[in-house]
Formats: sequence, structure tokens, C-alpha cells
Amino acid sequence: MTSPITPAVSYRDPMAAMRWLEAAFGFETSLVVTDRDGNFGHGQMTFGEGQIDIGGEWSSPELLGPASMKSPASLGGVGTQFLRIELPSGLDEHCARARAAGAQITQAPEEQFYGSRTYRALDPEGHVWNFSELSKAVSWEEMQQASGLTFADRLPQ
Amino acid sequence: MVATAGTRFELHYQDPAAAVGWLGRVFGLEPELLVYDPDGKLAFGRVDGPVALVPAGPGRPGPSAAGGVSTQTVNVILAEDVDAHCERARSEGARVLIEPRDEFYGERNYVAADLEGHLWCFSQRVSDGGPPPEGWRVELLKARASS
Repeated sequence: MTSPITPAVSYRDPMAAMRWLEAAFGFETSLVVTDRDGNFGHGQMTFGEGQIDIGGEWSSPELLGPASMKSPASLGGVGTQFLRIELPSGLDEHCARARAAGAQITQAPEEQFYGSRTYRALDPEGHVWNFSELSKAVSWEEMQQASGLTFADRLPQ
Repeated sequence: MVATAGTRFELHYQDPAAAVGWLGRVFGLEPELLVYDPDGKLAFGRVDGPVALVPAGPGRPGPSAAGGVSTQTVNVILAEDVDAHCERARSEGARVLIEPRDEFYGERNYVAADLEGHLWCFSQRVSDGGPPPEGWRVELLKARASS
């Protein structure tokens, strides 16, 4: 069951980004909207049951006021939102493929205290992607012991 | 092609604990998991499935701290009435940037900013959609995995 909540990712060159996401991370293009001149309007991609929307940079004083959407490439690498993708298996192979396609691997695959193996990579415009695969089931109590963190399912009253 | 995989994402907040409360009250998003550090500060929060809230830091500010800019935004498909959702959000203090409007592809949506400037687009499917505007081309390569 796919979530009805989808991240929308902004790029300076969305068409090039979609080609790169296919080659490096294995995303599949599901929708491309272009205008009569072939200019990009909107894109959608899938990864297993996961989805992302792809957009260009956009500002509109009348519609958005002071808000705007930009690529990290236009902001010195800053990102207001990061992506996390769960793989069913094959994390190390996924990382090797991404590296070969030119991804900047900022954190090599390693085990995390919460039972996942993860790696982190930047795409060509600087969006941060965190890929993970479940390596073993860990209870909240075990996570708590390993990390010193406290886990809860509601805000304190 | 992989059998199962999820797309999750992290939104950066100066005050993630305040954001968890705000997103619940204003947008109706339920907290599912909250992780506190030894000082009692919220280190990680998960609301409604794929949305995680994490503390802002160097290189990962929220939009307000970044001068109003967002590098990614969130699209949410509602099961409920989008106009009613918008009115509730507005009355609870959300800044509605784009009022509910019908799109040619059969959705009605609105865009609002949250307490730290993250942009949320809420949509409701209202018809099967019609042809795109003059001059636009739509290539549907694969049906959306769910509706």
C-alpha cells in the first residue's frame, strides 16, 4: 500500500535529474508533463511502492508570497528536507551502482543501532538521500539501551 | 524493480516538538513515534507514515530560517473534503498560500505553509480529469501506484 503522502523534490534541471535518478538510484519514470516547446512542467517517479514528485525551481509573488522552491545547487548545498528510501535488500550493491553513476557517497554503508544498514549520498544538485535496509529486528527497549534515547508514541501531557 | 520499498522524508525544524503539536492540530497529522535525547529534547519524530521531523542544523535549516526557500515540499492526497481541510487549517493558524482550485488532471488542491514555512499541498481527487491546457503534453508511462 503506497502512502498518500509524497515528497516533491526541486531541481534546476529536472529532466536531467530524472535521467540521473533512473541510472544511479534505479527510480522509474511514471509521468512527464511538458509544454509545446518541450519544457519540463512536472514529473513523477516510483521506486518499488515509493513515489516522488519532481519539479523545477519556482517562485510566484502573487501565489506564494515570499516562499519559493529552489534546488540545493542554488543555495550552497542547503536542504530544507531530506529523503529516506527503504530497500528490501541489496543496500551495498545499490550503493556501488550509485557511486559508479557519479553519486557522492557522504556516508558509506554501515549498521545503525535501530537495526538498519544505511548509506547516504548526494545527487548532482545536492539533495541528500539516505538509503536503508532492515538488517535485524530491534525492540524499542534494545534501541533505548544502545543509544540512550527515549522512544514514545505520544507527546508528554 | 524492487518488491517493496518505501519513500520517507525528513523535514527540518528549529523546534520539532512544537511542530509535532502544530501538524496534529492544524493539518490533522498523527504522531506515531517520538524519540527524545537524554536532555528530553525531541531528536526524531514520525507523523503519519513517511513524514519525519528532525532538528534543523547547519546545512539543514527549515524554510523560515533559509529565507523562505524550500528545496523539497510535501504532497498529501486527502480522503476527506479538501475545502473543509483548508478551512480547518486556516482557522487553526495555517498560512494558506494558494486557495483550493481545480486542476485539469482531476484533483482539487491547496497549498499552505506550516509554522516554520514548509509548504504542504493537500489534494483531493474530484474527477477523472480532462485534457491538459493548450500546448501541454502529458506522457503517462505507468499508472500511479495507488490513488
